[in-house]
Amino acid sequence: MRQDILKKNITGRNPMHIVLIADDSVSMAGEPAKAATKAIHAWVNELYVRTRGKKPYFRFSLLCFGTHAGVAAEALDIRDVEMKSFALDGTSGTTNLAEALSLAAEVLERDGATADHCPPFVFLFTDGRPTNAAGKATEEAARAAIERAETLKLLDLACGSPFVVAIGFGKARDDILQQVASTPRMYHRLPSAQALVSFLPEIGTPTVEGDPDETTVGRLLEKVSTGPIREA
Amino acid sequence: MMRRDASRIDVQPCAPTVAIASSPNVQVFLPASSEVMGEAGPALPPAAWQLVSAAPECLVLVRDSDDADPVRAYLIPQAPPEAGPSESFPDDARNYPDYFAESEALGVATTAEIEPYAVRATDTSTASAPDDPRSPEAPFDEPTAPDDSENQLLARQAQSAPLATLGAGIAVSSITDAGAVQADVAGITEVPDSAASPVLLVTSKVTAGAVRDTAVSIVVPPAPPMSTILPTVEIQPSDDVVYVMRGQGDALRPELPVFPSPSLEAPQTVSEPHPVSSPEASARTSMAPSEVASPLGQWTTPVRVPLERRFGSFSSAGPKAAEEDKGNQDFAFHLEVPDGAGRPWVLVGVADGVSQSTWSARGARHASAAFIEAATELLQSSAASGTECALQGDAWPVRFAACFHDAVMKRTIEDREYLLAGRYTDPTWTPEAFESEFITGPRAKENVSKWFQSTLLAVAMGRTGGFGLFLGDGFARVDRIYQDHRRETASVLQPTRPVSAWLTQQEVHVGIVRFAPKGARRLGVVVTTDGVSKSSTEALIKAASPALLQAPRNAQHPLERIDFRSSQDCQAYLQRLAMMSAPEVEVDNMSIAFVLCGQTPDSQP
Repeated sequence: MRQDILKKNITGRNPMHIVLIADDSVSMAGEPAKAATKAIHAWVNELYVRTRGKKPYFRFSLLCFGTHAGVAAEALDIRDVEMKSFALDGTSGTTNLAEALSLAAEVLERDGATADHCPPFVFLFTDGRPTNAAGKATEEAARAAIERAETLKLLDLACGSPFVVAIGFGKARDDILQQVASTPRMYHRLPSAQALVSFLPEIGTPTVEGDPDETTVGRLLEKVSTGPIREA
Repeated sequence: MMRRDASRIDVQPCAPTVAIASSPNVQVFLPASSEVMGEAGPALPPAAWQLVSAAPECLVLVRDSDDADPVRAYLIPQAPPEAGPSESFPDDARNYPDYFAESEALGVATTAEIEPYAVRATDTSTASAPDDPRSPEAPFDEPTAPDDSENQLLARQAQSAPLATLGAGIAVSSITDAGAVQADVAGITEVPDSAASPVLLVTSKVTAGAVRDTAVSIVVPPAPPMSTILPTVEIQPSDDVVYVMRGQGDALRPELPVFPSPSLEAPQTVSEPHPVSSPEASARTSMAPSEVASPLGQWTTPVRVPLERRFGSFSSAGPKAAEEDKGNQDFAFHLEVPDGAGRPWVLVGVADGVSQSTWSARGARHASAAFIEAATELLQSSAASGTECALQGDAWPVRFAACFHDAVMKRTIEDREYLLAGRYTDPTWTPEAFESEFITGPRAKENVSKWFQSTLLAVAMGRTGGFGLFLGDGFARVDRIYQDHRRETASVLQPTRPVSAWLTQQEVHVGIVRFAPKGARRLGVVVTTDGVSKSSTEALIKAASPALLQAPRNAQHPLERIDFRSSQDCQAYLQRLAMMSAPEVEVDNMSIAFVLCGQTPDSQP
C-alpha cells in the first residue's frame, strides 16, 4: 500500500467519500432497525462535527438494501445530509448483498474523485446471510457477494481504491464478511444491532483519543482494523 | 429595556428568597422552598454556573423535588427594570429578611436588579386562544416599546415559533417536558425538540434549571490579553540585529557542515559591551527592524547578545490546504526577561491549538502567556533562581507547576466567560455547529474540556541551564556543545497531556524538564509543533538550506540535523516546507522556536 495515501490528511482539499451500505432486510425489522437508524444518525452527526460545520471534509452516500439495493443519498457533502427523516424499518425484503456492493461501486465511479481526494471507505452492516435476487440464501449468492466485493476493492479510482469495512451481527456469516472486507481485521462481529449505536460512530470517524487533530487515512484505517478500545 | 410577551405562559408573582451565586452582572436566586436551602454553596454545577453567570440576562427555572408543578422562573435582566409588576409583589428586599441576609452574606446586589415570576408551563394548543387572558392582546408587563435590537430578537423568536417567549432573546420551547424529563438528571442537557430555538437547561440534584439566551453573535472577539513583557534592558537598534541586516550575518551562517565554532560566532562588531540597561524600556513596544514578527502577535524581543544568547521563533499557517482549513492556530514566541538578580533569561516556545477543540488559537496564546507569567514569576522571585544550582532542588517544579496551572486556568476561565457573555462564535465553526457542540447540545458539558485545547512546548534558558514545560506532542531536542566543540543532540519529548480546562497541576508537573549543562559550554533547545515534526524526513531535510544542515551523525529525527540561528531562518525554513506538497509535508500549521545560551570564548565562566 502506498505510504503517501496513508499519510494523506482529510481536509477540504482532500475530502473523503464515505459510503454506508445498510441492511434493511426483514430480519432487521423492529429494534434492530431502530438501533441501526440511531447509529447512522449518530455517525453522521460525528462526521458533521468533524467538519466544524464549515469544511467539506466528507462526502456521504447511503445505500439501503433488501431484495434489491437503492440509493438513499449519493455523494452529499456531510453538512448537507439531513438525517431526521431517514429511518430503516426492515421492510426491504431479503439480503441481496451482491447487488448492494455493485451499487456502491457504481456510486464511487460516478463520484469523479480526483487524485487529491482521500481513498473512499465503504462501511456495510448486515444481520443476515447473503441472498440472491430470488431471495434464496445460497452459496452462489455468497460467492457473488465476495466477487462483487473484490470488484469494489479493486476499483481503479484516481484517489485510490476503496477500503471496505464490514460489520455483522445476528445471522451474518463471518466467513463471507471477512472476505468482503478489505482485510479480515476489517470485519467486526457485534453482539447485536444495539451495539451499532456506539460502534459505528466510533469506528467510522477519523478521530483519535489524545490526538484529535490526527485525521489521516492511515489513522482511520488503523481504527477500522482494530476497533474502538473497550472499557474493561 | 426588555419587553415580555406573556402570550403563552401563566405568570404569577413569586418572591425571591435565597441567592445562590452571583457575578458582576447576574444574580441567580432560588426560592426558600427549594431544597437548595439545605445545600452548602451554589447548587448549580460549576460548568453550568459559568454559562449562567456569563449571560447578560438569564432565566432561572426551579422545580422543587416534591412539587412537580409549577415550574418557577426568575428572569434576571442585566440592568434594573424601568417598570414592572412591582405592584404584584413588594419591591423592598427587606421584606424578605432571609433573602436579604443571605444576599449580604454572598455579597450580591439587592432585589432592585431582580424580577421574579412564577411561570406555569401551559399546553400550547390553548395558549394562543383569542379569549385567553394570556394572549398577546393582554400584556401583563410594562408597555415599553422594545428597541430595534429587541425587535430583531423578537422577530427571530417569532420565526422559530417557540412554545413560550420570555423577554428579549429568551425562548423556551418546552418547559413542562423538560422539567419532567430532566427532573433527576444532573448536568447540562438540551431541551428536547428545541433545535429551532435552542435552550440550555441545567439541572442539579434539586432540579434547578437555568435557561439562557442562546442568540450567538458571529462577531470575532479581540485577541485575549497577553502577558506584558517586563522591562528588561534598553532596546535600541542594536548592533547584533543591524549587522545581520547588513549581511554581515553571514558569519552566523557559515557554509560549514558542522556547528560553527565559537570564534565564528563572534564577529568583532558585536563583541563590544552592550548598552547599559534601562529599566524603563519595554521590550514589547520596540521591535528591531530585522526581527520577524509572529503572525499571531508582536510577542517577541530582539536578540541583544547573539554571542551568548541566540534565540528566535516563527509560526506559519503551513501548506495552503491547512491555511484554508483553519488559518493559523499555532503560536510562537521568543523574548528575554531578567531574573531576580538582573541576569537575562530567554523564554521561547511554540503552542499548537487543537483544531477539533474550540477557540484553540486563543488557547495557544493563553498557554504561552501563562508560561511567560509563571516563568517570570519564578525567575524573579529569588536572586538565586537564575543559577543552575537553584534549579537542582525539588521545590521549584512544584511551585512552578502550581503557578502555571493557576495562570492558565484563570486565563481560560475568564476568557470563556468573556466569550459566552459576548455571545461569540468560534469563527472556525459554523454558529449552528458551535452552538450544538459547546453551548446547548447534549455534549456541551463534556466538551468544556475542548475549550482552548493546545499543546505547549516552552523553554526558559539561562546562561548555565534552564527548564522547559512540555505539554502535548510535537518535537523537542536538546543540544550541548562542549569546550572541544564536541556536540551532543538528543530528542527529549515524552508524551504528556496538552493544555485544556481539565489539565491538572500534577500533569503540569509531569511536563517540567530541567536542562543541565552537564559540562557543556553551550546549551540549546529546539521545539517545533507536530506540523513540522510529522513531515517526512525528505521534506524536513530538503527545506533546510545547506547552511542550516548539519552532518547526519546518528540523528534519530531529521530535525536533529537542523540548526536555526535566527527567526529569519525559522521563517525561511517553514516557508520552504509549506510549499512542498502533501503527503510529503504535513498539512498543518507549523511553528519553530529555539534558544542557544552559554559562554563564548571571551566570556567569563
